[in-house]
Amino acid sequence: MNHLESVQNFIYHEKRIVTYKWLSLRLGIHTNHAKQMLSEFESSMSMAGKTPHAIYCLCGITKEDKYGVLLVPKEELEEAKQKYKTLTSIHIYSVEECRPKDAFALVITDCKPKKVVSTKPSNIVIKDCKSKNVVSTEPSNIVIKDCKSKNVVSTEQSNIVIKDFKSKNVVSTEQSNIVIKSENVVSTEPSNPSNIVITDCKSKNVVSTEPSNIVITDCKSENVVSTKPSNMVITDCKSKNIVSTEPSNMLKGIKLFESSSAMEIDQEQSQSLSKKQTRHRGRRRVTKKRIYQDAKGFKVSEDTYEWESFSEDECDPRQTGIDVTIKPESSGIKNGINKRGKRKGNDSSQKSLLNFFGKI
Amino acid sequence: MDKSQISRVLPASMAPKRVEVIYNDMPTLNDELLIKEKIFRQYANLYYVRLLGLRTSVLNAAQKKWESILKPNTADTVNKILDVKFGVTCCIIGTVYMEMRLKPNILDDVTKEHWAPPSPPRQKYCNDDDEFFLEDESGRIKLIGGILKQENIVTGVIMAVLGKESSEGNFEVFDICFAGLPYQQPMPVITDDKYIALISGMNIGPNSSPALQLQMMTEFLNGELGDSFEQNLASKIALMIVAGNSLQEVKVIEDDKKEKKYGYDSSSYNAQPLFDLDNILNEICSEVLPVDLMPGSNDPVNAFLPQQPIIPSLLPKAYQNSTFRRVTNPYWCEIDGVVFLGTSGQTIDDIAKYVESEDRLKLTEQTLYWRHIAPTTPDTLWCHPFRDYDPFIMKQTPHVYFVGNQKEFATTIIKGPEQQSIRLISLPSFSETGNIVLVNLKNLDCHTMSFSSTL
Repeated sequence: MNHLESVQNFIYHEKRIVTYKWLSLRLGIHTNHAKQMLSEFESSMSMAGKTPHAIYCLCGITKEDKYGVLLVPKEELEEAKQKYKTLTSIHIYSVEECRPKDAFALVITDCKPKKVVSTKPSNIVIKDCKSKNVVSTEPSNIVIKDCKSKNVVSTEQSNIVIKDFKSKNVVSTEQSNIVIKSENVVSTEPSNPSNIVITDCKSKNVVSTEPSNIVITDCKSENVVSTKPSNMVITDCKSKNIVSTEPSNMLKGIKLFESSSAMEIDQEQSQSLSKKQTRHRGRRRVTKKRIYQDAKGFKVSEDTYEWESFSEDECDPRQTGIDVTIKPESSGIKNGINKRGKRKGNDSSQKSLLNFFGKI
Repeated sequence: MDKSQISRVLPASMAPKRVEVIYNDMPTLNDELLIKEKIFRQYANLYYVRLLGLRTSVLNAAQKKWESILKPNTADTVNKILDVKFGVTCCIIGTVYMEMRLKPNILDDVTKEHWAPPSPPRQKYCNDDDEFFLEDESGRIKLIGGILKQENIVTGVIMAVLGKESSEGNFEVFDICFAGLPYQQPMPVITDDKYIALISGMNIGPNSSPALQLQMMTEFLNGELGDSFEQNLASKIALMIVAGNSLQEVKVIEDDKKEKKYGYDSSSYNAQPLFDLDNILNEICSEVLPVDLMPGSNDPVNAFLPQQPIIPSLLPKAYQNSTFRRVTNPYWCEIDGVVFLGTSGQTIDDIAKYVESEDRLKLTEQTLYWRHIAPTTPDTLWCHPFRDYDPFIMKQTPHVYFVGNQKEFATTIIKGPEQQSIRLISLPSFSETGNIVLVNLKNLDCHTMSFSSTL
C-alpha cells in the first residue's frame, strides 16, 4: 500500500525515527491512524523478513499500584509487561531501522503541529481566531473573519472569503476563488484558473503562477507577480512592483506608481493595452556609483554599469547626451548587486578582461 | 500518496471531549499577592500587621482551649507582655522569635576575614541551644519549657502561651496554642470525574534531560498517547497547574578572561530552555487544556515572595492562547467550587531548616494550624515589605493544599475541628521522578502518573 511505502521511505531512505506523532503531523492524519499504520508496517515488514526496530508504549497499573506510562524497545517488551499488574494499553510508539542510542532521539524537533485540519468537504466559518494554521485538504468553503492566521492552506477546490485579517500566508494550490484582504497572497500552482479578487488589502506579495484573473482594487501591493497569462485589473493601487512575465492584459487605473517605483516589463513579450499609444519602454545601461568599505577600512567608490528600465516619461538619454546617473535605489525583484558582500580589498586587480578594452 | 487509502479523521462525535470547569481566580485573595508598589521600606510593619491580623483568632482559640483554666479567674489574659506579673499564671499572645546561633547572620559575613572562603549554606539552622522569645508591640520575654522543643515552632508564628513568670524573668511555659484552621467553605457536590493535573520541577535545561518524558506527558495530555482508556482519562483532565521550577537553575561559570558588559558575559546566556518551555506550554494550551503557570525559585521572576507572574514576553507563543494563565506564587484558585492553595516549595523548604523533622507533609499541616503560609518571611525567606496587610495569612482553609518541588510524592487528608477536610499534597520534581499528580475534584482522590522509558 502506498502509505506503507512512504513509511518505508522515511525509515530506510531518510534514516528517520518515525514516531506515531511525527507521522501524524507529516501526513496530516489522526494519531490513532498513525499508530495503526505503524503497526501494519511493522507486521508486514516482519512477514517480509526485514525486521525494523520498534519501540512500544505500555500504559497501566504497575505492581507497586502506581499508574505509569513506559517506553520500551521491542527486546524488552515481554520483560516490561511483567512489571505491570494490569495493562490498559500497548501500542507502537515508533519504528526505526535500528535501536536509537538515547532517549533524546525520540523527541520531535522538526515538525510543527497544524492547528485546524479538515480533510473532508466542509464549510468552515472561523471568526476571531488566532489560528496559526488552517489547513483544508478537500473542497471546502472557508469564511475567515478577523483572524490573525499565519497560514491558510487549501489544497483543493475551495472558496475562501477572508476579511480583515493579517494572514501571513495564504496558499491555494488548486482551483480557488479567493477574496482577501491580507498581507501575503500566494497562489503557487493552480492547475486551473483561479480568480483572485483582492480589495483594500495591504498585500505584500501577490503571486500567481498560473493563469488567473486578478482584480485588485485599492491595495498597497508591494509585489504582484503573475507568471502566466493573466488578466489583471488594477485600480487605485500603489503597487511597487507588478511583474508579468507572460502575455498579459493589464488595465491600469489612475495613479499607479509612486515616484520612486519602477515598473519593469520585458519589452518583447508584453502587449499592454493602455489608453495612450504603446509606451516607449526600454532598458538602458546606466552608471551607478557604489560606495563600500574595503578590508583595510578605506571607503572605495566605484562606477558600475547596470541595466535599468525607463519609461517614456523620462527623457531619452541618448538623445540629450546626458549621462544619467541614478542613485542606487533598487526595486524589489532583481538585484544581485547590492547583495554582494565586501570585496577583498585589492584595488589593483583587474575585475574583468573587458576593462582592458576601455569603457564601452 | 493515495489519500483515499487512509481512513480519515475519527468523526467528531466519537472522540471524547475535554471536560470544562468553572474557574474563579479568587480576586480577594490573589489581589493581595500582586505587588503594586515598588517602594521598599522597613519590615517592622509586616510583623505588626501580622500580629494584628491573627491576634483575635489566636485569642479565641486560646480561650476555648484553656477555658477551664482561664474562666475561674486563676489565670488571665494579659494584653501586653510587659504587664506580666511575677508568679501569676497568665496567657500572653505574641510573635515567636527564635535565637539561633547557626542562622546566617549578615554581621558575621561582614566581620569575618575576606580571604576565608564562605562556608556552604547550612541545611538546618536548629540547634540544641536555641532560645525562644515571645514578642509583641510592647516588648519581648524569654520562654522556657520542654514543650517548646516538642512542638514545631518557627520564627514569625503568632501564638498564645500559658504560663507564669519565673524568678529569673523568664516565662515558664505550660501550654501553647495557635490560631487553628480558619473557616472552610463547604465542598461542592460534583458528580463526574474531573481531574486537575499538578506538575512541578520540569527543570528544562540546556541539555534537555527530561525532554522525552515531557514529550510523553504532552502527548498524554493532548489525548494522543495510549488507547481509549488513556484518551478518556486525558479528556477528564480539566486544568493543569505547574507549580514552579519550570526552568533549570542557571549555573553561571565565572570566566574572568571573557569580556563582561554590565557585570556578566552575555554570550554565555542560553535562551533555548525558554523556547522549549514556550513550545511545550503552547502545545498543551492549544489543545484546550488551561495551564496555570506558577513561578518557582529557579524561574526568571523576582526572587522574593510573593513571586509575581512571569512576564508574557518571555513566553510569547504560549501567551497567544487564552487558556494560558500566569499566576503568582503562592497561588489561590477556586475550580468548580473547590479551593486550591499552592506554593512552589520555598516556604516549606525554609520552615524545614528551623526544625529537626524532615516530614514535609507534617510541616505543611502545621502551617494550616499556624494559619500562615510563610511565617519565616521576612527573617530567612525574602519577601516584599508589606505595610497594610500580610497576604500570607490564611483567611480561609483550602480544600487542596499542594507544595511543589519536594523530594517525593506524599499526600494525606487533614480533618479540622469544624468539619474542615483538606487534602495535602507534596509534589515531586518531574525532572527527577517523571511523575505528575492527578487530583479528582469529585472526591479529592489523588494519584500519580509516571512517564519513563528504558532507553
